[in-house]
Amino acid sequence: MVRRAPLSIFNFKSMIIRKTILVTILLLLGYAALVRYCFRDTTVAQHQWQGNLIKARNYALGISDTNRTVMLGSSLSYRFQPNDLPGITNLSMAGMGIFDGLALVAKSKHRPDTLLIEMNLLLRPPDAGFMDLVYQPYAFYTGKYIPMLREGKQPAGILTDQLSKWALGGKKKTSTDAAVAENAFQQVLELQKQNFAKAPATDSLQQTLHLLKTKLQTLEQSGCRIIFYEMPINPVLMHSPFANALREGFLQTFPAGQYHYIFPPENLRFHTTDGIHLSRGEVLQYVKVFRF
Amino acid sequence: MLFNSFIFLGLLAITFILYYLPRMEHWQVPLLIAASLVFYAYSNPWLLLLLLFSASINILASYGVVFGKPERRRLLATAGVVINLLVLAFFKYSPLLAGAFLGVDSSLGTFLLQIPLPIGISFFTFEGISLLVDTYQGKEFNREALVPRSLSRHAQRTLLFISFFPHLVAGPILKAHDYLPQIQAKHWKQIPWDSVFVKVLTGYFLKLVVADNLKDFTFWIAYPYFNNQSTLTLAVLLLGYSCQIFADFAGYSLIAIGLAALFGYQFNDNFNFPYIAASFWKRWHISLSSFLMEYLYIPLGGNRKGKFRTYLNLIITMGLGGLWHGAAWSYAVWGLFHGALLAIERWLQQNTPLRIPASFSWIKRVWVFVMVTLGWLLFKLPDFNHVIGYFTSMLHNQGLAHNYTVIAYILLYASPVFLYHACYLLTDRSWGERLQAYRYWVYGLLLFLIITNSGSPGSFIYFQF
Repeated sequence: MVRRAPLSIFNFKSMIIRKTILVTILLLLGYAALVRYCFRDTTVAQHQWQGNLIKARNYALGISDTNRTVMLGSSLSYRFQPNDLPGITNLSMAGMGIFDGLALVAKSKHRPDTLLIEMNLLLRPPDAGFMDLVYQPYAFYTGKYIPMLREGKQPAGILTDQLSKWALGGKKKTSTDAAVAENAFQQVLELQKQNFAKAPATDSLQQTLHLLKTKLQTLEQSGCRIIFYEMPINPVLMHSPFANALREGFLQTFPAGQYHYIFPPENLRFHTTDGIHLSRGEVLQYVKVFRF
Repeated sequence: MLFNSFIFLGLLAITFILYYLPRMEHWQVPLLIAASLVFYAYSNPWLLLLLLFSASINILASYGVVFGKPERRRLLATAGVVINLLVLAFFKYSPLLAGAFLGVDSSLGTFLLQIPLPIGISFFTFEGISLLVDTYQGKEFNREALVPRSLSRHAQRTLLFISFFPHLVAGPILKAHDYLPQIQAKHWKQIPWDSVFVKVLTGYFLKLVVADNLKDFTFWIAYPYFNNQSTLTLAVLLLGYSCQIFADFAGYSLIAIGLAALFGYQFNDNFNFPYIAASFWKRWHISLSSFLMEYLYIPLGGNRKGKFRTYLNLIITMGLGGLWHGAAWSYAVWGLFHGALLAIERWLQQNTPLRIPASFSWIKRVWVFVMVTLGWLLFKLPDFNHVIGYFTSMLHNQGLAHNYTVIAYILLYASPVFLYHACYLLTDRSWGERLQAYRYWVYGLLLFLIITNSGSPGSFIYFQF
C-alpha cells in the first residue's frame, strides 16, 4: 500500500520555504558583489559546448570584441585563442560548423567587413537547437542585464579556475608516455584516414556549396569581403580524396580570381593531436604564417 | 514537454490555479486529464492516438474483468495483457528485430526500422498491465472499489491513472492498487508544502546542476574520443556518468513525486540512496524493480521451485528488465549482467560459509557500486564493440596525459551525489539530526546554484525508454 506522509496545512509560519528563499537572496547578493568587484573580467568556459555558447551569446549581446573581421569555423579553428589573432573575432564552434556561425552573424546587429571562412568541415550541418539556445529569452536577457547570470560567470567555473591557478601556479600538469601516446594517436589517425579516403557525394557537396553561396551573397551585397582558409591537418590527410574534392569544390564555386584563399604552406608539416586538430604549439606556429 | 522547460511551468501554473478553485472540485479529474494530454501531445499530437488506444483497451478489458461473466475473466485479462505487450513490441522492438532478422533490403524490414518510438510507451504499457493484473487477481483489495460500476467514471479514473503528467513519460511506474484508491476530491489545505518544496527543489538541482553539467563532460565517453584518454580520465568519466544517470533519473523522479503531491497524489519513492546499497535493485528505480518482482519474477516461480530455477528466474527477469530499457541488445546484455550478479550473490550466500561482518559491510557496498558503474557503460555505448574498446583503452592508456580539466569538473559536479548519499548515512547520528535544523542553508545553496550554475538544457535520459 501507499505510504502516506502526514499532511501539513500550509501556513506562513512554516519557515523552511521562507528561510530557504532568504538564504538564496543573501547568496545571490554576495555573489553579485563578488562578480562585480573581483571577477569582472573573468570568463570561464568549463567545456567546449559552454565555450561555444559563451562566444555566441557574447557576440549576439555585443559584449565581446566586435571586430570588423570575423572568423567562422569548426573545432579546428576553435583552437585559436583570443590573443592569437588580434583584430579578429573568432566565432568558430567546437563540434559545430560554419553554418552555425553564419546564422549568428546574419541574426546579429554587428555586420563584419571581412569574413574568414574555414573550408575543412564545410559539410557539417548546423546544430538545430543552437540558435534557439543562444536567443533563449530568459538566459539572453538575464545575461544582458545581470552579469553574474552569464554562462562564463558560473560559480563552479570561477571556483575551479581560481583553485587551478592557485594549485598549479598557472602551469599545466601533464604526464605522457610517448609510446602509449603515439599508439593512441595512430589508432585515431587510422579512423581519420578511413573518413578521408572517400570523396564526399558530389550532389551533397554541390548543394552545400550552393547553400553557402546563397548565404554569403547577402553579406557580400552589404560590402562584406569573403576569405576562405584551410586549417592545416596531418600530412597524410592533406591530399586525401575527401580534402581534394572539398578544395576543388570551393575553387569551382568561388573562383580564386574573385575570392581570396589562404592555404597552409606546403613546407610546414603539422603532426596534430588526432589527425585534424593542431596542438597548442602548432597553433602558435601557424598564426605566424596566417596572413591575408 | 520537458519538466525543465518554461512552457511546462506555464502549463503547471495554469492547471494548479484552476485545480484548486472551489467551483472546480467536481472537475479536478477531467482537468488533470486535459492538462496531461496537452503535456503529452505538445511535441507530437499524433502520439495521443496511441495513448488513447492503449487506455481504451485497458479500460474495456478491466471493466469486463470486474463486471463481465466470471468464466471470461481470465480470457479478458490475458487478452488485455497480450494486446499491451503487442503494442509495446510493435513500437519498441520492431526496429531491433527487423535489423536482426530482416535487414534493410526487404521492404518489411525497411518499414519496421522506420517505426518511431512513442515517448513513455514503456511506462504506460506497464501501468495498463498492472491495472489488468490487479483487477483480475483482486487479492489485496475489492475489485469493485478499484473499478466503479459506471463505465464513464471508470474510463475517467483509468485515463487519469495512465496519463497523469508527472509520471507519464518517465515514471515512476504506478500500480493500479496504489493509485486508483487515491482518486477523490483534493483540497488546497492538504498540500504538504514543505515536502513538495524540498522534493521539487532537490529534483531540479540534481537534474539542472548535476546531470546537465556532467553530461557535457561525459560526452567524451563516446567513440572514438575515448581512444586517446588516459586510464584515470576514463575511470573518472565512467564515475561521472554513473553520477549523471543517477542525478538525471532520481532528479526526474523527485520532481514527479513532488508535483504529484502538489495535486494531492502520493507516489512511492523511486530511489532510496542506491549507491550505498548492498542490494542495488531494492533501491534503484524501485517502481520498475518491484513491478518486475510482482508481475514477472514471482509468476515465473520466484524462489519457490528450487535453486536452479531461482537463479534462472533472476537472470530472465533482469534480462527482460534490461530489454525494457531500450531496443538494443546492449540493454539485454546489461540486464543479464545484473541478473548474473544477483544469481552469483545468491549462490555465494547459500553455498559458502563466508559472511561479511557488519563493520565491513562497506566493502560490499563499494563492490556493488563499482559493478553497477561498470555496467552503465552498456547504457552509454550501445555498440558492444565500443564497450570492449573502452575497457581496452582503460587497460592500455596508463601512460597518456590525464585530462585534469575534465577530471576536476567531473569530481566537482559528482560531489553532490556523494554528499546526498552521505546525508542519508548521517541521519542516525545525533549531531546529524541537530544539523537538520539548519538544512535551509543547504536548500538555499541548491536554489542559488539552480539560478546561477545550471547546465545546458538536456532531455532526461529515461525519456528514450
